[in-house]
Amino acid sequence: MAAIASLVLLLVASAARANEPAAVIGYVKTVVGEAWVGPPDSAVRAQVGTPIHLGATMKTGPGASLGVTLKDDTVMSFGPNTEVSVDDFLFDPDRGDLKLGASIVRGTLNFISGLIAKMRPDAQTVRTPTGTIGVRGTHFLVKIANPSP
Amino acid sequence: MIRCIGAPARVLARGWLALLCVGCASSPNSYVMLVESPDGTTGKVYVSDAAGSRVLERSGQATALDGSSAATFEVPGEQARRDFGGTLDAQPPLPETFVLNFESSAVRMTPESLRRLPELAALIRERPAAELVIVGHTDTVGEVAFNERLGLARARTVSVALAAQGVAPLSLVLESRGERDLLVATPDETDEPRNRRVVVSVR
Repeated sequence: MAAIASLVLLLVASAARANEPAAVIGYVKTVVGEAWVGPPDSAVRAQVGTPIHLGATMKTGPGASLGVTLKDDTVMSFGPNTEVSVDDFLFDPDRGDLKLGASIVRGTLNFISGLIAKMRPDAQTVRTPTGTIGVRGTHFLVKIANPSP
Repeated sequence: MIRCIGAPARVLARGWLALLCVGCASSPNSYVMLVESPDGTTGKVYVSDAAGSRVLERSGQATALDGSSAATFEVPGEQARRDFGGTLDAQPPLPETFVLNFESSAVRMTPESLRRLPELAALIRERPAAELVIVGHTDTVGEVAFNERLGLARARTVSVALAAQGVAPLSLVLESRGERDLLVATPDETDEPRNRRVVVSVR
């Protein structure tokens, strides 16, 4: 009986955690045209100052662009018809928790690494539809063509 | 008869076209390209996919991201501008840090730092959605606990001075490191102007 009670408690606790908004990991700094930020089912129109939560997807429409800066000073910007998400972000230098993982589905990405890269050079990964890019403290550009219809 | 001659001719034409494309180093539709970092260094990018693993280590060096090839190539400047012009135009201002110095055992800025304040305020005001982290430091003159409080008082002095100049950041964090994080290592009870500072990081 006690075991069932604690199991129920555990389920309630994890449900509560799942409903908490994810941590803010950065903010929108530039936006031109129509761009959206957030989970796929509740994305909001991006404006200067819109917070980026962990796991958020960032999307730009035709002719649009978007620029964000993350808490570790990583700077990213996106051209038109782009979809990028930040799946992992750990930045707690005192505890040594340092990790950045992003995915690009389509479009163009400009990436300038920040403090995570300085403190742990192998802690940043960008996934593409066909592979992975391991980032060693640098600036790079990615273009992923739209999949053929 | 004419059709028989025509068909091979078209195949030949396509063959020439393909050769020409290789000759002018046409880039694939999906690729990653390394560029020089803002600090003048160039890092590395490791790419791994069905075509294998490779490393980019020169500015301008690129490799395909469609799994077709592990070769590296140079992207012509004109193509890079066409592919990434809008993306680069959207790049936010890079994070910056500024140092302001203080008089001995006081929350009073040095005359030179006071003079620089309006320019610093203007730079921060121009930033979209500015986030500020203001960290106060001391030299080793005085008790550790006193210096912890002095560091925070210095950080607060700077935030008040910036607010008076119209700086209204999206977020503001004030911290003190007291005498725990010296810029110039000194023994205890050492008057060192360079250690009496506030570091303003703006994102």
